[in-house]
Amino acid sequence: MQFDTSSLWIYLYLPNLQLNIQQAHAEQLSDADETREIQEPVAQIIYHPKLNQVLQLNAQAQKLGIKKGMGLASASIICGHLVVSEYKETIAVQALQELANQLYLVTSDIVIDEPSGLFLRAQNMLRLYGSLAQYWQVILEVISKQSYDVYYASAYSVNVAKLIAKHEQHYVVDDKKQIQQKLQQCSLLLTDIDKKDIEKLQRIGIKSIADLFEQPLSAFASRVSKFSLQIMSELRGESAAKLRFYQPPQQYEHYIELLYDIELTARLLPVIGKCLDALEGYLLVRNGLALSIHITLFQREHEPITQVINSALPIYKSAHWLDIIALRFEHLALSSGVYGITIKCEKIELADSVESDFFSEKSTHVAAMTLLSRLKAKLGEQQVKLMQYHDDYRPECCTQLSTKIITKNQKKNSKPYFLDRPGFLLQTPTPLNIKVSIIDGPERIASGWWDNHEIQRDYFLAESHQGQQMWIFRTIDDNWFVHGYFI
Amino acid sequence: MKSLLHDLQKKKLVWTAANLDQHKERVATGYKQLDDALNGGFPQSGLIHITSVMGCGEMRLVIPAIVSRQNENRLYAFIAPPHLLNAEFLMAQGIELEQVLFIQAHTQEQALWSAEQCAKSGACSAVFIWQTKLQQIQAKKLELAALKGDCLSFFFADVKQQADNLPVSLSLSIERKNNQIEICVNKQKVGWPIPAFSVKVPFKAKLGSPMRYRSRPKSINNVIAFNTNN
Repeated sequence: MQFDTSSLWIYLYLPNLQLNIQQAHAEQLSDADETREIQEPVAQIIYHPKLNQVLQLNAQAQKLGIKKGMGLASASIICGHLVVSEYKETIAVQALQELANQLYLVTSDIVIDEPSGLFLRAQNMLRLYGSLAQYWQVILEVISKQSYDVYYASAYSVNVAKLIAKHEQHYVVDDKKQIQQKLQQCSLLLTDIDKKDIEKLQRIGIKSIADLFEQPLSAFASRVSKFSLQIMSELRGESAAKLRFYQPPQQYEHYIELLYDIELTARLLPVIGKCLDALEGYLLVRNGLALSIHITLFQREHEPITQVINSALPIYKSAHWLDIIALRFEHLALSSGVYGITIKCEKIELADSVESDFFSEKSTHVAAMTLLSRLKAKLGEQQVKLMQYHDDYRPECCTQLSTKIITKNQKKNSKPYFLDRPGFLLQTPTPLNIKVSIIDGPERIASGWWDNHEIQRDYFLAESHQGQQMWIFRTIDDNWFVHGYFI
Repeated sequence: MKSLLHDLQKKKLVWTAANLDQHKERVATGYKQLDDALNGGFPQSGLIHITSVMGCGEMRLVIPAIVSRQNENRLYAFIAPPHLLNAEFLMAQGIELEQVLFIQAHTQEQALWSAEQCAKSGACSAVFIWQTKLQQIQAKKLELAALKGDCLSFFFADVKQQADNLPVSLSLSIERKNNQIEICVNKQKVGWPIPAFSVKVPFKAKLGSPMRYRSRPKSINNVIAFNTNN
């Protein structure tokens, strides 16, 4: 998407993501293990094997003299007991996405700049928060929840903000002059311009950002690549960057790994309750409700079990979900210990703010839907049915059972033609083998020649000496059957 | 002594005339003789035990009462009936099909669990159960569930299968004799057992040629406004 060069952007630069995450994990472990004494901090680096470069390093490593861009050999000469971890981009990208998810609740336009940065478009948030300082306060609160090393800068162009932030600045202002001054002090080497092009520029005497501003852009056009030229023009504020805004996923998915294996479903329920609390929080913030959730239980030695839990009424409260899940899990047998649980909600329903009248029908409707969910969870979807009438002369075709709820609009406004029909129909007519006296009849039903289910029957109302009123029929070849009872 | 009585009351084993809430209003059954025998009709809520041969008109006897009692679109739950229910019959009796819940259960335990859930949820105005036999404790559970959810539960049992001392609100036995139904009130909470009397339960329509009752559904939008000003 393209934007004018007059809106304010903030760039968050997180250079040491993987290192920060690993440190946080280590701290959690040492917190749990209280007996361990406080040790001298260890020099730790993140190393990229293909580039043979140190990419991230902690304070201790820096103190020893290790620098970014060093090879592994030189680094290990400086420090004998260096902790080396391999660089994985996915870790950083995942962390960025999580951070973007959290930021999305307070700011709208976010762009993920893989692998180590986030753009925030501040301009359209200023009116909401009143001023840049207040907006920035809110953003900082979200960021400081994670213990990441974060640098930031603001500017009226995407690339300028990024460039200033990369100089490891903490700099958020909205004064154009100050930003311009700050930009002049920046090094050309940290821009996104191609390394080869930077070399070319240096050969023609362009050694700093200030030099870049002195010449017209057309002077460089034939010397550098199109990509570099684009970045240069963006730095000068002459064209706008093309960015794709981050869209948080429309579905909820959360995986937790258990601290120990659980083999009893009854023990599993409190854990699932915790996960549902997280889902409840997620839905509550989004004013959403869920109709069905998938629960996957990962078993240690067997295939994972996936259960789809449906509710007839969209709900979000974890207690309501747990109620249905407990009924379903009564029948569930685990083959081996469960080590992980995923809770997934594919579709989030929007909570309808336009509820109908508070007093009429609502409580009954909610009670009915809760009842349906409970019954279906315990007995199975197929056991609980709703009835529909189908306009047909054949008695066995009139009644249709379905598991779906029919909305009022779909309801066919049909009335039965016959008022003297029995309440019970036999699934298949049985031969008549008791003595009956006929009360009324016959009524001939001959129908269905069009759909290979042809019948021709003469129906009679009959009564046995016990007092049972039956609906019996005679076929063309003079066989008698019972088809129903008048209850 | 007082504490013993208190204990029993807590367990709801003692019924006192003071908690007559259930019986303040009765639901008219639509049959005069039956209303007279039952002090005005069925109770507002509770479990009603009906003993009869299947197919002698037991449902047609109670349906007018539950249809008249229906408000707020509450559901009718039919739990594990011995045969398929006929939609045409229910519609002819004045029951809206979208309010019918049809529950199939594999075991008696499941059926009774469903019945209890339906009755106490408050979402059902009537629950129908077909079972061969109920134990005391099961009947008590269903009765309490029905009272809680303001629901009329009907328990249909075959003849002479069931001992007659269940803790229900009302117990009837029905037999068909000479074109009429003979009703015997075995037990009721606010009255004495009453010897057999007869009620005529009709088929909804007079019998005869079915084509006579064929009515075309009237279209609703056939009214044209006639402007008198012109």
